[in-house]
Amino acid sequence: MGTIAAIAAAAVLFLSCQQQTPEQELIRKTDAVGPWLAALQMAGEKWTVNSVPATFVHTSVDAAQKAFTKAARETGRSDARTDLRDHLGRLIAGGQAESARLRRAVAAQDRRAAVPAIRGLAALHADFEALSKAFEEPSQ
Amino acid sequence: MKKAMTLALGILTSVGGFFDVGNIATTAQAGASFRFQLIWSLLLATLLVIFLVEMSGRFAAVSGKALPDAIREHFGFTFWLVPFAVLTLIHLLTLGAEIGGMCFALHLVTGIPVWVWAPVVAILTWLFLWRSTFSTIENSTSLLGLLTLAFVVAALLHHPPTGEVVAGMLPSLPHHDPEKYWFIAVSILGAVIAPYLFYFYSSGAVEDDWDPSYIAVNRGVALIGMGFGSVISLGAIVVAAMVLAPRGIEVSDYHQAALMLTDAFPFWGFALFAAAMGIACLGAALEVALSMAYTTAQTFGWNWGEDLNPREDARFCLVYTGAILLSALLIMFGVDPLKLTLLTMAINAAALPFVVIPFLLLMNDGKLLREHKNGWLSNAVILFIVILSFVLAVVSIPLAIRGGS
Amino acid sequence: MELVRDVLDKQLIDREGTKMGRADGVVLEIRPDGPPRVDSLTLGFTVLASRLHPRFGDWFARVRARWSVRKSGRYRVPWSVVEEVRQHDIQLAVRALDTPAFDWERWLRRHVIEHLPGASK
Repeated sequence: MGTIAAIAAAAVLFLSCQQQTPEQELIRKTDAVGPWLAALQMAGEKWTVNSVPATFVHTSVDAAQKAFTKAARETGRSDARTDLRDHLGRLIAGGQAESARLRRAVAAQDRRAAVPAIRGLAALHADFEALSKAFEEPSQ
Repeated sequence: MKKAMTLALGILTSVGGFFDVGNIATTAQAGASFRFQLIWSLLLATLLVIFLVEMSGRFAAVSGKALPDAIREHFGFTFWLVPFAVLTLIHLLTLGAEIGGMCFALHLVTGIPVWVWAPVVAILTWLFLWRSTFSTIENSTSLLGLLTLAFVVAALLHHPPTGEVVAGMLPSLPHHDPEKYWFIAVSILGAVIAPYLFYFYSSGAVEDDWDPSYIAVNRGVALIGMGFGSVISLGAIVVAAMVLAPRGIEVSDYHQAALMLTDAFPFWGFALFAAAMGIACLGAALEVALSMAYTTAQTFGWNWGEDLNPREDARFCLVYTGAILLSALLIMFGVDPLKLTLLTMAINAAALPFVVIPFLLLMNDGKLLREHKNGWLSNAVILFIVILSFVLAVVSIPLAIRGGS
Repeated sequence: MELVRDVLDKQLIDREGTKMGRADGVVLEIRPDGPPRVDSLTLGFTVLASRLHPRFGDWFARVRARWSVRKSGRYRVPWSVVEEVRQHDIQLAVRALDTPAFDWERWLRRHVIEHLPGASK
């Protein structure tokens, strides 16, 4: 039973590794970035209408920043095409900047300052989605 | 009247065993990434777990014994050792995940880091077990658990497209990210068909003094209890599909799931999510800790029972105390709650053969169960579960590596 | 009576109805002039370890000797103490508290539980 499991595991890993180009690999490794951008956008929006407390935005930004740092590291390490890596790098840096901006606005309880940060996150998210789609694996 | 109160056992097992941190994580992921497409996985898992719970209850009612007790007695210590070791690992990991869930819920409303809450949550859970009787735990958790209905209400308020929801009840192939799709499908099965759930149920039935007259009630409890948990989970998938998916918020962190109820309930949504998560995890933590104590005490023949005073079953109490301590340490040392949850779901799925096969053999024992032993339908279902569990065992760990991170 | 099926791994109940462990092992007396006779039941983690492999039993006994509360890793219940072998348990004529089977229970009771508040429900 153990041998079968080991062979099956190796097979699955082998097969799935086989079909990915370095670009698709990088997109997969950084796929948390898009959802985080969207989540921070929603958290910011909800904060401006008092649906979520400021502490939630703070801790969400902290968690998102960790994901952005990790994604930046993966981008630096990757073998993928330079244009993709540069584009991703810009998106991640943008995400880091806008989320820091959002955090500051929320800390200062400044709704007006939060709005451009939220818009910035939305734009970055749309850009990220478009980029992912361009490199997506063809579906079976 | 007592039989009506047995519904409480069913609802407790469903709030604690069915809708717990694993379910929250997997349903949120399913709805956010694949909208209604994975509903079939939830329904399949529900159907299978209803059968397992019914069998477990029937067994306890007829034989007067809980499963670990009966398996050791019937098959001997050497046979039971491997399932027992597997169950113990699952208990500890799951308890860690549930404690992590409670810590996260508290973190949501206070902003204080997750790991700081671990000792507080551990002591709270322990106190509950130390001071309460089994019926107090059953009744209070069931009552508080009704809060999770918020997911159902929110789902209805969103007016989901009925056609798509119904289409999702049938299995289909994913349009994107097949690894993630199958990983979540397997995780849902692992989250719902948690091995400790039907083992716990048998011990709970013995705590509640069930006898053969409870067999009919047991069928109702299995159906309504598990059905209740399933409806809540379905609500969670729908809400995630209507709120998170359109925004492209896939769930890799509990912060993202926490936004779920804020569209339907602009003022209360955030607090409701935290409360529902906290309560579901508390119920589950109590159940898992008890389940581990039941399993260990019964294996070695010690005195056991939540209704007894601690001085009458000291070793039983020592087990749940130790379990809570060890699991809390996982969270205190910074293990990510969501990652721990997903790992545990994968292991649940992989461990199913070890815990279901002894059960299958027992349910067919004519001497123990007499005329109540498994009929052809129950046997067909449990055989299907065994085959499915082997498949899951083989694919779940590789999928977790590929599709989960 | 079939020993493995009816005696081994069975729950033991003391004369007050308290669960006092399981028959982890059975000791037979081989007699030259007749069939083997059940001499006693044995309880304990050391007995269980030995069932898996004799080496585990020895290792466990050594670990136990250093850390344990109980004087011996193997508690012997003479067959004479057995009152009744039922379908699901074995009734003994002793009180659990008077036997080594309850060494850990007694120790925990005295050194831990008595010191913790709220130990009655």
